[in-house]
Amino acid sequence: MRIAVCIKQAVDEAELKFDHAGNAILSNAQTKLSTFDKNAVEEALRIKTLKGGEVIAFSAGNNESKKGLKEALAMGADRAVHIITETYERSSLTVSKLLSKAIEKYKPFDLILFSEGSSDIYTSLVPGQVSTMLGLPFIPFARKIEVHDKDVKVSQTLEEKTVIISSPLPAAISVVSEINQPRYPTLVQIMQAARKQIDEIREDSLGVEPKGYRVEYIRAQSVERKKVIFEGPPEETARKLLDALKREGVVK
Amino acid sequence: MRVAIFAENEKDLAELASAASIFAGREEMIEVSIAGEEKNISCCGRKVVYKLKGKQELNPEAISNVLRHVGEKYGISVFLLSTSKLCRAVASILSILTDTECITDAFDLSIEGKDVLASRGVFAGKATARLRCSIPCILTIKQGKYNPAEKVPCEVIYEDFTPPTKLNIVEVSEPQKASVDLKSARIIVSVGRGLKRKDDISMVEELAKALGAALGCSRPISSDLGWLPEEHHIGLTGVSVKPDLYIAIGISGQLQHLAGIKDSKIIAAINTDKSAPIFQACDYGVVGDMYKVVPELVKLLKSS
Ligand SMILES: Cc1cc2nc3c(=O)[nH]c(=O)nc-3n(C[C@H](O)[C@H](O)[C@H](O)COP(=O)(O)OP(=O)(O)OC[C@H]3O[C@@H](n4cnc5c(N)ncnc54)[C@H](O)[C@@H]3O)c2cc1C
Ligand SMILES: Nc1ncnc2c1ncn2[C@@H]1O[C@H](COP(=O)(O)O)[C@@H](O)[C@H]1O
Repeated sequence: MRIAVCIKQAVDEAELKFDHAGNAILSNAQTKLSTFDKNAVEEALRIKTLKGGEVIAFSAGNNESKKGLKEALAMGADRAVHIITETYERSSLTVSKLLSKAIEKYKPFDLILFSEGSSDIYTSLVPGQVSTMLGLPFIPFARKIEVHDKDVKVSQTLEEKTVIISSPLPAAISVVSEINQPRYPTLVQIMQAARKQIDEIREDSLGVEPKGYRVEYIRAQSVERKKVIFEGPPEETARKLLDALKREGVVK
Repeated sequence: MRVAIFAENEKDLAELASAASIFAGREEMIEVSIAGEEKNISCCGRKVVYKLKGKQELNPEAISNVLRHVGEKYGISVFLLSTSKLCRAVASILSILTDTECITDAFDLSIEGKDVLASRGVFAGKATARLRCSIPCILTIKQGKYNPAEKVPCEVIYEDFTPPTKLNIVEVSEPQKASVDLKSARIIVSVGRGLKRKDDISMVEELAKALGAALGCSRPISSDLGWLPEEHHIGLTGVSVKPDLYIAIGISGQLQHLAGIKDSKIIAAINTDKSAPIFQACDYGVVGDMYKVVPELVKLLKSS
């Protein structure tokens, strides 16, 4: 079974800073492997353990992406492919085109895995876009995947329903974080990963014209809160809280 | 310019029609229905009805192909969809089928020449991005940002088209119908991982009852632990709420949770950890054990 897993090195939202005008500072921002993409890697590895085969991680992004790919290799991915882009900002449509062209070069695959959404922008667009460009059936929001020889059965949670879907292989699936518990690589694995290969593909070699939305600006969303804190014995703090809420007129 | 709207429920459809009014008048709006049979009443001038067999109404691939069919037949410039999970998947597939640009979670739409401008939350709600994309385009509209449009009689057209798909919907299990309406609740009491056991939810429910509040939770409580149904889950990947009062109990206040409660008038929090981020994002905070503070609150409310 050959499995491709798409992972993004995302700007770390917790560390994101803003300039005086409130604009997000994205150049040299701290990054991390998009939170749920670890679940996608874990799922690929789980399926490989059951079915054998190979797991190849793909990431499109600037140099930071190497870090995420190394993490995936340390977790146990066999190979990694870095599609090098100049800047971090690319529309989902452009990223999807780059990824699908790169994946084409490493065909055939039985499964392509993604996570439900990236932790920085969470558009949930890339998985369905890449799948459709590759002509594969796409199952989003999987919380359980059962792989058979010729098909795959997926349990999916929508807002109010649980749906079981089956699809012939090859197929593409995006996973939710509840699907598994990602493993932590050991120090030895991290060191071994340093020796594994990361192929490089430059974005301009893929013939993708940038398309999709353009960013006008990204600004801080600020809401000021009163931050009145009560400490002390529960009888006292409970009463203080209720009094405050009554004064605000939100509790009668 | 012609606009097509698609959503899984009436409320979302009414909000979409309202958002669509910047692109087109009612006569130029088409509601797409996959219900098979429909009454002649809509927020749009026309309703185009498809009949999908075998639970295909939950298949994003089938729905995208239906929308592509509508697009080609009726000359659609803009597709507006809700932001449900299904609709996000539909939007992503449709954007490739029609080679059009797409923005998810959009609000504050405006038109500038041949472009549409839209805002969306990014970095777990820490920032707002203003995005520009050229028309034709696909937008999924953030819920609760537009006032629902009114429904009036409309023309109904039945289409006979079977969308191609490789997916097979095997089974759909529907949990009991939602007893909770978080979006319109005035007070929400919400619980997180500070809760030690599933059974202890009853303690929090008692507080909700005493306040006449709806019960919400953080993602781990519903999705990881399954202690409450999914529809209680508030935040970036759950419901966005705007009550007068939101009480976060045993919730640390990660950005992704805060993203769903920003529009609350007053936020209160109860947490044992004084350094929990929720205390930087609330109006009133109690540093303390929920197992002691919550019963105390219930006692005070009952006695007053
Ligand atoms: C892309 C993405 C999307 C996400 N979407 C969402 C979302 O929509 N909604 C969401 O909620 N999360 C979401 N998350 C997860 C989010 O990042 C947090 O992991 C989650 O909100 C934490 O839930 P929690 O506060 O209940 O648990 P924790 O972070 O574990 O916090 C538990 C808190 O309880 C306190 N506590 C412990 N015991 C007690 C006690 N006896 N009394 C009082 N307090 C106590 C602790 O001090 C702690 O602060 C998302 C994450 C990602 C990456
Ligand atoms: N630049 C990228 N490189 C590789 N995979 C990506 C990239 N962007 C998004 N993805 C994949 O698509 C998923 C959803 O991302 P998004 O569409 O940005 O919400 C991510 O969790 C990844 O699996």
